Amino acid sequence: MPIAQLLVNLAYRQQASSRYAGLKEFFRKFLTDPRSHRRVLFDGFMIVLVLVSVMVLIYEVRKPLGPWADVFEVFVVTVFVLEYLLRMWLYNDSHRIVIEHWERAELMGLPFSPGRAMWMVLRRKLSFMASPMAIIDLLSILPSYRPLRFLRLFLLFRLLKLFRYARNLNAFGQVLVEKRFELYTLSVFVGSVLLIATVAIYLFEAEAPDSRVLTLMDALYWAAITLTTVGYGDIVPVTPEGRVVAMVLVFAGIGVISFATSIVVMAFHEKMRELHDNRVFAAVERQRDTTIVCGYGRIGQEVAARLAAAGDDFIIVDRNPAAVELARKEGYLAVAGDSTDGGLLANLGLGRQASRILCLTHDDVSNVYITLTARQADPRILIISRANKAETVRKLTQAGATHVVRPYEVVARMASEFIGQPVAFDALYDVVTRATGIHLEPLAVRQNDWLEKQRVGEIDFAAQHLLLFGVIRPHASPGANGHTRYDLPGRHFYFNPGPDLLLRQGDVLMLIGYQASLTRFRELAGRGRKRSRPEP
Amino acid sequence: MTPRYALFGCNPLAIEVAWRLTMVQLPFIMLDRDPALVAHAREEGLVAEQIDYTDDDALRAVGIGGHIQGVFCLLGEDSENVFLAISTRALDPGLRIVAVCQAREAAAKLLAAGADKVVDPYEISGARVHELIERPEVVELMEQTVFGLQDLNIAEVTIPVGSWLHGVHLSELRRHMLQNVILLGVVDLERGKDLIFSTRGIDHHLDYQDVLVVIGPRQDVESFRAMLESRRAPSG
Repeated sequence: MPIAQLLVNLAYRQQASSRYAGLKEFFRKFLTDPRSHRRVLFDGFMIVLVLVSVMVLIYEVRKPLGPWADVFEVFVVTVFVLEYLLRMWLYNDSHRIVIEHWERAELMGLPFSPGRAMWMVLRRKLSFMASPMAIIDLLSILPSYRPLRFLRLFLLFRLLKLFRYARNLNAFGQVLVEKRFELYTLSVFVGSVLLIATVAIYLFEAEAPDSRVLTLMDALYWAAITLTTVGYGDIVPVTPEGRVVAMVLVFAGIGVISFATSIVVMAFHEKMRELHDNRVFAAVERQRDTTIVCGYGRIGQEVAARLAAAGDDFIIVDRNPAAVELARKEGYLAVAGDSTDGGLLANLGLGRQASRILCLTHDDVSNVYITLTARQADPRILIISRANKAETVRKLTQAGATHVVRPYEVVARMASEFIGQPVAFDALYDVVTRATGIHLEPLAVRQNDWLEKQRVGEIDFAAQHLLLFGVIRPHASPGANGHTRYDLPGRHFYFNPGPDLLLRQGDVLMLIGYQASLTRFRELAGRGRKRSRPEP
Repeated sequence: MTPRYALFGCNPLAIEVAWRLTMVQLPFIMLDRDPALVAHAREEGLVAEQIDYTDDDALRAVGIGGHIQGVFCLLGEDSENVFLAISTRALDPGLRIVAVCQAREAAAKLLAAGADKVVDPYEISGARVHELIERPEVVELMEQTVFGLQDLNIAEVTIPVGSWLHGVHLSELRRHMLQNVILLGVVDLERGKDLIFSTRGIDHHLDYQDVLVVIGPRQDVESFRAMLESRRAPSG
């Protein structure tokens, strides 16, 4: 069975080829990926193409255009055909079906039937062709076929194609689909009212001398025009009975209109949130290195304000719509939703471009859950969690939080440090939080810096207007004796080290000074060993 | 031991502060109006008493205006804390008052009521989260050492009247400092609360009542304090 063998080989080669997969992914991003930026560009291009081609075809109805119009139409149709074929190709992976059939046959020890596999492939492709949008795509190609004039009608389908590219139009269609039960109820009601009114007006008016209701069709037309409160007035009832029917019908009409309006308005109201969320997701997709802030209470607000001031990208999730509204008023990206929902977090870039997640909800249980979800989705993400109770700290650490912040502890530490030495505390706190011009900043000793293998005593920090607070050294580096040493996780801190401490690669100097002095010293330190020590 | 600090409130936040004070060995007493909360604090092993803090005599009875040096207003309502700050400030103008606030607008009111320091739990927690994102190594270092429980402390030393330091340059003082302490700077309270950074380049003339801000192990800080209080400059 050489054909079968060829088919299976081809399928496996496609499966293994990274170029094939890459190509498919490339076109997928262009045509179908709802998050892709390129797809937005493609959609825009197609909208313009559709509108221009329709305008050209309309213009041509009365006035013939030159050969360029034909060239343009050929181009448009080529694009449409290519798009149609690409979409059909992207719809599913045919080689998978072949491989699946082959493997099943192998497993069961049955002969592999290429015909059946191909039939399955064809069926999948046919199911694509049967989808409404694919039919519209196909029909929109037809108007260019000149010999059949009635095909011009299919111009309308070309306009319908716009639904594919404009997502807002698409939402309108979705609204109708979602409200189909209500709309069905409404149409049953409208249908029965129309039937009753048609029959009634026909019975009363058809025999009347000046009546204009001559046929059942006239009666139906009148009933429809009256029910919808349009009331052209070309057909009016002349008998008192007919007028009673008209009056009843007008009131029924008001009911129908308001019911229909309320259905659509309600549906759109519900849909609006989703539409807004989709826009937020699309905006998040364009960000790099984003921070997800779960919970927009007071702490969330503080963090958001600081992130915004630092110019960092972030996205807020809160269960409470009022909080989300507040965030949007500030101009932040925000979605309403449950942040324990892994799907929502994935939409916001968890596991992809999100590099940090902050769990700041009031509820410790939620915070633990979000922490766990985030850690599972991305082993490298930075997680900062809030713990309201002391016993939650350990749980959060176990769940994978990088840092845990306990508001009560922070307050207690601050209050008790302040009460003993208020002046000193304020001064140091300002330095640590960079509230004033004096900062405490780390400076890493890198390989080939002039700092490396330098003794602390050889560096004149005072001349640089700096203060050496201490040196942090990882446990991996050899320790030093004769200095006051404090323990940090995995590292030692040498406070105010003596002049003989030899700096090594991997050490971190903690320096206090004005921003300008720190920047200058950092530059000097980075210039390499070739340069001499900085002049005071 | 006579309590030197009074904690108003026996809620979870106050208990947290109480543990912190216990760890740094500052004697304190907890006070609240609600007997259930007082009982709860006692169960935790803390010294707590039930008083009506709206009554000035009751406040005097616990030592405000007497041996109490500092007050923590940790009650749940901003209005209660404002009332407490006003009452205690009136009883003792020299008292140190720290208050927490719930609403952002209450901070200004508490300061106006006489609090020396207002701690907004949400604001500082938010600030800390952001600091953890921006500079985790600094936050970690400070929490483990100076703001933590290891023997590295921040201290303020006021230059006493009659000290040899009066009129001495800051740079000269640094030459005399043989203790293992870092002199962060000096706050000249007559000129405001801003820190004059010690290696700023402009040399400050030290003055009586200037506050030196130092960091170091307890023993070194004490020896530094003793050096300042001596009448004569140390030789060398």
